[in-house]
Amino acid sequence: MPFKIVAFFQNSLYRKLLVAFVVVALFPYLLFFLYSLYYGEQKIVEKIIADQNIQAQNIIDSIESHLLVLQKEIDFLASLDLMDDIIAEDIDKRISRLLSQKKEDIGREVEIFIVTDTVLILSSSHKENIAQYFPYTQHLHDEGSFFEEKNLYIYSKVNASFDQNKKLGYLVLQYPLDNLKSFFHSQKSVHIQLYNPKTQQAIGAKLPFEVDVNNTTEIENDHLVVMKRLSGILKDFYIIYGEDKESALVFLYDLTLFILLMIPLALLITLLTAHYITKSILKPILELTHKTEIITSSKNYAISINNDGSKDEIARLSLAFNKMLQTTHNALGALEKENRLRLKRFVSLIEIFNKIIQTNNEDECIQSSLEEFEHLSDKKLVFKKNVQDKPHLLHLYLHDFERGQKTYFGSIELNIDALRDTNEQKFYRSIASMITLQLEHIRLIERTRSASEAKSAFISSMSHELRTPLNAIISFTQYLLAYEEMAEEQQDILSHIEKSAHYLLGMINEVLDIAKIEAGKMQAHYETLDLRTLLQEVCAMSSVLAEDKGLRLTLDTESLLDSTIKSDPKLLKQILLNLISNAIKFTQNGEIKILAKSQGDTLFVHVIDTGIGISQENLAKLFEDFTQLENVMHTQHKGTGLGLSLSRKLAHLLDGELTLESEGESKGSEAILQLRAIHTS
Amino acid sequence: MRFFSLFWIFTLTLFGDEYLLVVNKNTPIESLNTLQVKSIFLKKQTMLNELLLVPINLSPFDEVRLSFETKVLEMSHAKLKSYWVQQHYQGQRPPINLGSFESVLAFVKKIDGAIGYIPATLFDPSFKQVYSWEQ
Repeated sequence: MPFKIVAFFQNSLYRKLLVAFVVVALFPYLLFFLYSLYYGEQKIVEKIIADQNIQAQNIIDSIESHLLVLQKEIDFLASLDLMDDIIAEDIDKRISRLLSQKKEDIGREVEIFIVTDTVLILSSSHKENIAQYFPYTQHLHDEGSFFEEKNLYIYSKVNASFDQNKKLGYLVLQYPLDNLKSFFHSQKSVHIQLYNPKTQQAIGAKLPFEVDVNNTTEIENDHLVVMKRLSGILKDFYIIYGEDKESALVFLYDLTLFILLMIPLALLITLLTAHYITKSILKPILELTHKTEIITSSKNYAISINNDGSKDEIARLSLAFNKMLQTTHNALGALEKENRLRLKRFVSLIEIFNKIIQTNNEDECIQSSLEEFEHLSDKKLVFKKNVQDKPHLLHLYLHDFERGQKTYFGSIELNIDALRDTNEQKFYRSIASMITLQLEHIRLIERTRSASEAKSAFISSMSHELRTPLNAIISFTQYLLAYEEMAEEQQDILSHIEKSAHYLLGMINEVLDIAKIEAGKMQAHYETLDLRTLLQEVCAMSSVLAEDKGLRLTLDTESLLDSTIKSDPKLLKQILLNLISNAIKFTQNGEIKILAKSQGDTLFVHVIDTGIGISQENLAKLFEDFTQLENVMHTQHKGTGLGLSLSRKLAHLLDGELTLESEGESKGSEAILQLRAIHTS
Repeated sequence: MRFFSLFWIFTLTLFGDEYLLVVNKNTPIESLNTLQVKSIFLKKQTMLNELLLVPINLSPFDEVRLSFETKVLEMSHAKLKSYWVQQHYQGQRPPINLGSFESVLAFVKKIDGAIGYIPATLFDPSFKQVYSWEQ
């Protein structure tokens, strides 16, 4: 399973990025949610308690400074010279007016009055008080404050301005403690009270919770309470600052609920955003991949990747990729162009070669070569002789086979050195070599042809010249044998002479035939004939020879379907007689079998013997002129060696073919004459 | 009460009445010459034996006070003012002032060593007259 998960992410960048985005986006969110769930309340409560402490301290500071100001005010008033009017019992009401003025300045429900030693209120901010009895004179000292009932009394002793030791009385400020409520906030969820645990006196609205003075910070089920003791005038008082827990933490509860409800929405938004961003990041990469796949499959390097105008890393990658593609495309194009050029050159080279090869004499060869050069280089070129001293021209040197050396032939006026490209130089040089080759070829052919013709003419004339005296020898020998009486020994000699002369004549005739064929003077005279009849005739002629050697000669023409053919009977008979006589000549015992058969349009005549046979390597040599294989029987086999060669040449003349097969020495051999059946029908 | 006092000031001013410097019966002063009055009211003399002398003025710009200053102290209001500014730096304060003759009498009656001026018409035998001048 873990492998599946790993594979799930490994195979897709999209999934990786998506998950990364979701984790990055949701992790702080969830962390915040868990934090607010587990620590939020504690932290907020701590914060609220701290705030309450600050608030309570603020209230304390305000009250204390307020009361301090009042004390100072009273002290100041008491120190005024005007207080000397106490002695005159404030007849002029100057003190009363001042006190009334001060009361207005303080602006609260306070009363300020002068208490004299006679414990009468001498003058007051409140007229009704004048001449009243002040019941708390026992609390009065030099200066200070005391509480009675619901009032705070701040007082200062008044001395005569002219005599500091002369006490005139007390200036007293009666301050209702309820005034202090004005320092409390009026907030629904906040409960503030000034409480004196000694007197159980409480200033402010009734608290909805119990208070323990020993515990300065209290976290109840429903309230957060902070207590602080005041100093100075109100040192017995505590300020109790309580706040409803519900309303203090309502924001946290709301927030937690909100976060909880927002999680699916946040997840959705994160997924959508991540999806969009991931897609936009991956889009160019996918396009790049897609394009790369297209390019690798289609080999089309002309494709380029679109840029949406951004300049980020992927855009730069695309740009680089495009550049690479462009470079590859250009390189391939150049390569292809060059290839095409090379192919064109190659083709033109072949064409030139072809044209040059087809020429039959030197002038034609030079002329067509010059034309081709002109065609290639757009320049009129001239062939010159005797300019071999100019090294930059294309010189033609021909190989003289007779002398075995190269001789200068001529030059083509093409400045090779002016061509910068070495390939181009090689190109022209190869053409020059080809021209040279063709020229050599032409010369060789001409020379060979003339030599061959001379040889044929020589043989032909030689044969004629030899035949004439030989005919005389034979005829005279025959005459002597027929008409002269001779001893037996003489007759033997004469018969030998006759045999040898006949042999020589036969040989000369064969040579003449070959010379005729090679000189093209032998022509076949076609006429309709019956092959079966011809074969029977030939067998009858050869049977004498076979019987002399005790060999059996058989003819099998059963497979011959239609024996009527068109051919030259004389030449055909000559071939067959030659083959059969050969078979008889090289067979000591056994049989000679002649088998004729038709196969489609072709007729086959097999001459099979059980003679000495021929090895595979010697088979190929057999048809060469004047060749007779060396073997043990050499001395016994007289022959010119022209037989098979002549037979094959004749077969070719008759548009046929002659082949020889043998399974090896002393395994017999088989000559196969192949003829085209030309049916008269 | 106030009405009567104003009335008296008015009549005295018109008719050039007599003004008296008074002390209470406990004060051991029988009479003062102008020089003595000057030294008391300019606080050059503040004690008489063991007794603190408390000179009493009326409110500034009071007609009788102006008369006292010009006739008895023989100093203009401006000159007195600069005098008391000088004295202030030496720790002396000008005499206390009260709002009315009634106050003055009430004050003098209670404070031994207190000296105030009143019209002769307001004099009663419970006080002692120590000096007098005429308008």
